[in-house]
Amino acid sequence: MKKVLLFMMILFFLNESLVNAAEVFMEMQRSGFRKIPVTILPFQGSPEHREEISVIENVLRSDLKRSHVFELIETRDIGISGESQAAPSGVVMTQASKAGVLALLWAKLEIQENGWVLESHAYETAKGDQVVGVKIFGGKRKLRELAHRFSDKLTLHFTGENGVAQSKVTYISDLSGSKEVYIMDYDGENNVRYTRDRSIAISPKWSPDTEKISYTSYRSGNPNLYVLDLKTGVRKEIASFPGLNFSASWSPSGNQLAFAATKEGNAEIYLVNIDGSGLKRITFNAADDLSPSWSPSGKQIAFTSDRGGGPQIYIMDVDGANVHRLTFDGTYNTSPAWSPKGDWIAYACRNEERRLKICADRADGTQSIAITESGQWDDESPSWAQNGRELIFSSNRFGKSHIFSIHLDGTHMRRLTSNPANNASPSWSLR
Amino acid sequence: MFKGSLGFKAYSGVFFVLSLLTIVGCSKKVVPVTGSEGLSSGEMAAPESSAPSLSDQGGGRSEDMASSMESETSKPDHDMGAMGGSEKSDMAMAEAAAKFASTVYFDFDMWTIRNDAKDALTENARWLVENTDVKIQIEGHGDERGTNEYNLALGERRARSTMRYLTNMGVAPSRISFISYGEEKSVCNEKTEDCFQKNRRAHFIVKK
Repeated sequence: MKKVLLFMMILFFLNESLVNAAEVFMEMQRSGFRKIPVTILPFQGSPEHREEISVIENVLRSDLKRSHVFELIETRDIGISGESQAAPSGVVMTQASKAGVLALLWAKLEIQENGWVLESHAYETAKGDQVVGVKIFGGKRKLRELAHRFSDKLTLHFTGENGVAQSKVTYISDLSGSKEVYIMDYDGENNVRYTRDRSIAISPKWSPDTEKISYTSYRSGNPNLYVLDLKTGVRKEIASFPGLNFSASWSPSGNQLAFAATKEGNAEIYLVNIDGSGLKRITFNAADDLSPSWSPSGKQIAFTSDRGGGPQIYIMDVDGANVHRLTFDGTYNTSPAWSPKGDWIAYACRNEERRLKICADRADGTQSIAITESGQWDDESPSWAQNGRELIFSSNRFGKSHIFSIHLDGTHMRRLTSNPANNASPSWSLR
Repeated sequence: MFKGSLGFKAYSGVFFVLSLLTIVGCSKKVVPVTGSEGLSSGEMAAPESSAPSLSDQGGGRSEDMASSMESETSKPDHDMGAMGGSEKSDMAMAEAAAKFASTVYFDFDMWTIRNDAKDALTENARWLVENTDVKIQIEGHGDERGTNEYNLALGERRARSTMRYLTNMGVAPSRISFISYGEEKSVCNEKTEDCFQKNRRAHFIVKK
């Protein structure tokens, strides 16, 4: 009954506006939110599309499980037929409602000339109302995308937040024999190689609009900084100073990059416009200053510096003023990643055995946590999901380096890459 | 661990359709574009060298950077054989190859030159002072522990301190270039202390 009440509250606020729904969701989170129980009814479609329907159902199931918002209850557990069927009847609604299921998810897959159409629905069981109803169109090879889009629709409607099921991860893999830039879906599927430099590529980073990727490559001999425009396929050289040009971070506006270069004899942090103009040095220190990460407000930058001896995380204003140290535990804290929500800064922290795990500090320094466990391996390169609740990182805990995702509270770790190569330096898109 | 403290920012979202999905398959169109940043040769100043420099001060820095591409496409350790040139310089090159085959090893997290490397480095410096038509590039490397980006900076410090040792012995800075590969080019891939030590190194590429 309590669940039903909660759900009706959500619906009430949904009718008002999405912001209110999010406020309810936020309130529920604070008070020990219980996930929203939903059931995926068998999708309808032509018998010859049984396989495709099964793919979509499974991808949706996987998305919802990972979302931390929904709890999946299977049809067999509430006495509903697992056979493909039409839209749920009043009887089915009542049955699901009595079993504590708050929403039924159902879709119909059809094929048209240009590709698939997934007619996607969500019904709240208490009143039998349809709360989500949308036709999703996708090309013939975009089956998984249909499910991701349905999932993001559901997340948006039930939480007021954008879902992350359509987001992408760019990373470095040596699958082809050299370290190249790849892109994959957030669940590790559809990996595609984007560079053929046959050199060493390092630290790819998504632009905020997910249209460009910055990375460092030794393709000309020297480690230079490039921006790859995914729409045009054009790669532009941004910085080619003698020495390292590396560890770039996009400004939230997407107009500037912060990066480190060693042209002055040690690593210093610079800002540069994405056309390569307007170079401005913002750190002045005999120590190495590197790995900048922009705050979502655009006003501050977290970075690594060993000005105090070992490397630690520092924060400065974007003009280089007001430098202060964030991390004090341990002797080696590097590679900060500022959450898109602004509240946390994740980084790689070293244990007594000289191995790295993922830690995070509140940006105001009031709390410090370990996200992954320590071991005889390195967890590094944390990168945030847009929702600020999930991260990806690379780890060589199973031998070769692979990319993993994990919730901020240290639960739900899963491995995303499965190829026989090394996969590292992940960057998670903000869309 | 800190449940309930996670602040969910409320905001009304826009439903995004990834434009990315339309451009999968464009990767073949990637073409290099001329850089917008560039520096005159020699801008990368040599580290502070107190020792007097010999001849051959004429820049050459950017040339070294360009030719370091060779170490990308072939095995870096023994690629001197591919060099052409006069017989005299061929001999110098062969001698150099033997001289510079030794690798300088470093302690964990450190970039100072260890005592066990000093004899060989001193010998190398003496030889370089006598054979002025040979140039070298120093590659700095680290082991797999530590983050990739910090290891790049550390690798460069190792290369620079190796270079400084040679210039302090009188080798002209303009004859030495350096590059850091951090942990990107390991020579050993096991998770053992022995293997880590093999990777914490600076080594030499002989150029003409």
